[in-house]
Amino acid sequence: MSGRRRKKPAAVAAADAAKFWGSDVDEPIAPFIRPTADPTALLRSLGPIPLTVQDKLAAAQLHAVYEKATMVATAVASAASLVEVDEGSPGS
Amino acid sequence: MVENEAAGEAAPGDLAALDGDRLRWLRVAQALLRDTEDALEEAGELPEPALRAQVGADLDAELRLLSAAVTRAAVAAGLGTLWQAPPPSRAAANGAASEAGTTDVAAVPAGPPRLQGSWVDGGLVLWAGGPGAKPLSAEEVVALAVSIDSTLDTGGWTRRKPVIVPGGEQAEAWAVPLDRILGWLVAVASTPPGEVVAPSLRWLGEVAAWAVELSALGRAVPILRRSTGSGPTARCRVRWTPALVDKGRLEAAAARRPGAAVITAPAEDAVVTTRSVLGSVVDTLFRHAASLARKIPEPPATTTAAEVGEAILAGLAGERFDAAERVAGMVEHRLNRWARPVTADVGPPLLVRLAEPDSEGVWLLSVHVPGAGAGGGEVPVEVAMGTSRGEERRAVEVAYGRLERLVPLVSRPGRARRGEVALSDTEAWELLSEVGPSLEAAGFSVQVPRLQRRSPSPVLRLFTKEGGSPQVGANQLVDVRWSVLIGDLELGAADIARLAAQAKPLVRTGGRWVALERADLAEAAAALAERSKVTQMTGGAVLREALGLEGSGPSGGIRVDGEGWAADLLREAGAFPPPPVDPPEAFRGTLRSYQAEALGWLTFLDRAGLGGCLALDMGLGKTATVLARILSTADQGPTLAVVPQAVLTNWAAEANRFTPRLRVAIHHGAARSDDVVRMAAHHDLVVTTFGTAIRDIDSLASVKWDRIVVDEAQNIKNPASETAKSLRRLPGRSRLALTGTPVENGLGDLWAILDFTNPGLVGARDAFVAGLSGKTLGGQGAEAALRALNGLLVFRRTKSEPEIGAELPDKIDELERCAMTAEQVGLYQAVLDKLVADPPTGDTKVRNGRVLAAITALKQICDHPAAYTHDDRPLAGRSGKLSRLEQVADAVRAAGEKLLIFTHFASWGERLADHLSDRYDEPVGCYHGGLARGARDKMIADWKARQGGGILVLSLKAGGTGLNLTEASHVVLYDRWWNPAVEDQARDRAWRIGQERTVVSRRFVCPGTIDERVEEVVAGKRRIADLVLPASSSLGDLSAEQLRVALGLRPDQLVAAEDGSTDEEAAA
Repeated sequence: MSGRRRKKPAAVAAADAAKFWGSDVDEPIAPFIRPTADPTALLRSLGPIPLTVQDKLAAAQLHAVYEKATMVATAVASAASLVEVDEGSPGS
Repeated sequence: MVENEAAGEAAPGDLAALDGDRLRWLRVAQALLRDTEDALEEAGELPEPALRAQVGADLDAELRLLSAAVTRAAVAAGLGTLWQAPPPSRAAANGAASEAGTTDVAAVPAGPPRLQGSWVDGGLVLWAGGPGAKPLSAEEVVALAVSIDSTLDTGGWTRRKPVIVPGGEQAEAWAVPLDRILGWLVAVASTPPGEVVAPSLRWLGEVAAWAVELSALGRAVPILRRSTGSGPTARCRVRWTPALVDKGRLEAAAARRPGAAVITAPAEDAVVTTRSVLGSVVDTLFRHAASLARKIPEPPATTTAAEVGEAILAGLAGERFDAAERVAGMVEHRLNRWARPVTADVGPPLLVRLAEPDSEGVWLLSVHVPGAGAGGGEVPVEVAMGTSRGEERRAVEVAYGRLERLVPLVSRPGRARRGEVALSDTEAWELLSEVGPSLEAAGFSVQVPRLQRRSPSPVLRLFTKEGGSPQVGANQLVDVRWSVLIGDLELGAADIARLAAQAKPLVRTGGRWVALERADLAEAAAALAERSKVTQMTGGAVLREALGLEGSGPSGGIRVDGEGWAADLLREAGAFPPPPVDPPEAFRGTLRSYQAEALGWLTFLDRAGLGGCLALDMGLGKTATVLARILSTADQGPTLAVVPQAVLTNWAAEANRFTPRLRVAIHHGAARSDDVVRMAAHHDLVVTTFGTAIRDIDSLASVKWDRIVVDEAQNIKNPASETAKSLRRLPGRSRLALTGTPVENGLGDLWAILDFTNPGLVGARDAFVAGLSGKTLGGQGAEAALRALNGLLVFRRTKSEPEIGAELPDKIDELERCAMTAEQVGLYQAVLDKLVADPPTGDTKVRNGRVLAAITALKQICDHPAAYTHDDRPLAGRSGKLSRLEQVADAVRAAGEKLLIFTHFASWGERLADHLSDRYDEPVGCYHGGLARGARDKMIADWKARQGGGILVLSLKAGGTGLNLTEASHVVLYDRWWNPAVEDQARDRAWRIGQERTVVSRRFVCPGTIDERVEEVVAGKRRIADLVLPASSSLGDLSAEQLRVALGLRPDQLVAAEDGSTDEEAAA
């Protein structure tokens, strides 16, 4: 029997096939994206970026990028109907 | 060989080989059996029941074969019955094969090829295939992708080498730039499963959506990526990296990854794939955002850390640059260290909690570490820092440091312990409204009381309690108490003062905290102060307060609660429209739903002992509605209806049509009864005109009427007029005013009407106008004021309301009976006398011609004396039809709608147009065939372009065809002709395709005249004035007597105007 590749049992092959092709989920994902009104919160929490340039220049440039990025991301999410409507306060 | 033997497929040579080494045969068979048992156990964990069942069935069958094979091998090896094979029913114990049905179910259901997505070398590849399906061509792949979204831009897609699917087939594939397809990919995740999108593509869509979520929260950091070579220069670029990626979510997503998603690298770790997709999408989004931002210049060199820093800021959109290797490495390291608090695997986020204020109004902010306590519970951050060690402690400190940067007051000196601080109301509000959301975006968990962003307007609350007053109704005296309501929170004067003194007044209402506007508090305090000393009020005063007619109130209005006449009334009137009421059984006809509601309102008024104003738009059926109520209460006493002369016969006709059981008397004209009391005692409804009512006021006022109804009540808008003063003398249990235009000239008109219907109840005129004027601000006009009273003293519905419009037919055809004036009657008789005295002679044509000429003359007289005589005297007050037309035109213009008036007589039409122009001080044209084409076109264009209301007179011949006049929603056919089709065409200038409103078409006829004969002929009756004409007869064949009968006046149907003033002059 050595040197011969054992033929996989049909059922195991079937399970492999299922894992390869995957299975459909019953429901599409529901809206869950809640855009933030403060796009630079995480950035500010890290403190000044260590780039040895003027802090104000770096902050201004990065803030501009973060604000645009959250806008673009929100637009993409809205187009896909994934934006959740804000119902109230955080953690409530 | 062993498998073949087990399956019964071994060749003789194989059997000989197995027999030659029986122990080995047995060991291999046993190993196969163990493998199969393991596989069977694993199959029991498969998530899909159908797959679990079919795999279990296959494995069970295999188990049986192998068990038998082991037995045979054992027997062959001489072990015989010493060997015990596991019972073949082991599958039942696993629970997997117990679900097996037959064994003929396919392992993975085959289906059509679907659109697949694979992640290859950090990019997206699209191809199409499926289990048992032939892969699609590249063009078909594109077609499938576009079928999901027809706007998909496939520019930039490039063909790549085919991917190899299970079974060895090749599937043509496309490499797709992520920035061209990101929106489409994310949308795929939110579409229901179908026949196009395969699980691999959906999985990629879900991960892409997660990356979009991170980006929308600003959870990404710029990192430097450099590719090192052998030289001193490194090739660098900024790579945006996802931050705060939840480990559990990452692993769960990875576990769902289908193999097709990594078709070219099936062994790749699923977590690695998931991170790669996340990172690429975030990087794509942020680079795109950076490309939109203002670009700063690149440094001339990149040999120092500062220069590399500048190059990074200039290259945030991902542009590559070269930098000195050593310096780039140093900057890369610094950036990684700076970003590590949010890019390394982190535990659960710190919890920031704001507790509701204690008894002293102190808000406590505290910070906790979830999972750090015994049993996985939370502990205060100070405790966590004290008890944890090493990396765990460092992680908490780093996270706390991030928190301090965002909320510096957490480190305020004087606090009891680290991570606990007392907040003021203002600080608490900032946390609730602004800081909290920022903390969540930065990856902290936040627990705060629920917040209501919009401050509710304060409402002044008037609580009434019956104090044993003997009076009832509006005169009932009740005890009252005042307070202010904000949401569900009731505040007294002291509470208001306390809140107004706070910098940020916060209150809890409806389970949420809300910050009050100080201006609102000041307004509420002033309203309360104005009234707080009042402890008793009459029912009428309570009602006036509720309607906003007494003094100033807060923006939220006034609410009355408690007991008493006014409170009960307001509660019942609160729900508008009121519940509908069916008309009495004897009512002939069907009320529309809004009429049934109006009837319900009339019933409510009677129950409450109130009068009111029924303000249904013209054409909505006020008369029929009121007749239904009169019929219901006929046993309570007679009703007196005071109406314009122009509609006197209409009232009689409608009563005959809808309420034939009502005993109706017309009190008008020289032959009217002298004994009004006796007349009233023998009739349910007495209809009279304004003029007659003034003349006979003494006798009418001596009757105990159950109800007084005033139609077209705008005639009493001047309380100083003789009409208004006279009608106020009429006694009645209830007074009802009917009008389609209750606020024709302002709120003062409405006051006059309501003060008539409920004397003294609505207070002084100035206070009424001032109180309701506030509601007319904002361009809403008088309608807003009417709505404020709707359901209580007023019932207002208009054709412009969608639910009303939906119920109305496309067109309403009404017959208006317009009484002739004495001048008209005299002229009419004179013409007829002349015709009868000198009957037509000659041949048929001549005779017919004379009769037709006489008919034409009579019709002109019915229109207006001047239409026949062509005199130059003023037109007003000389024709019943003209009087009625003026009333209709007044109402149409007041409603801002447009009116078409058709007449057969062009010269009369011109005269009429001039008269209406003078009356309304605006141009009213007459469209007729004598005008040049250009003049006609301009007339139509000007009329169409006029904003709001507008009147146009048209001759029936010229204006009856070809024109589209759908701007008009009212049509008057001023005079009739024999051919109804011609009139229908006229009406259809307005009622046609493109018309969105109900068209009200009115045919004017003078009762007892040639107009009615025409009506009869048009209605299909060949009997004219009791004559039966042979089909071949013509009018010219009639004898003098027949002519008199055919064309003469019918005195019993004539309603002549009285000498003296018109309705309008009486109302002035």
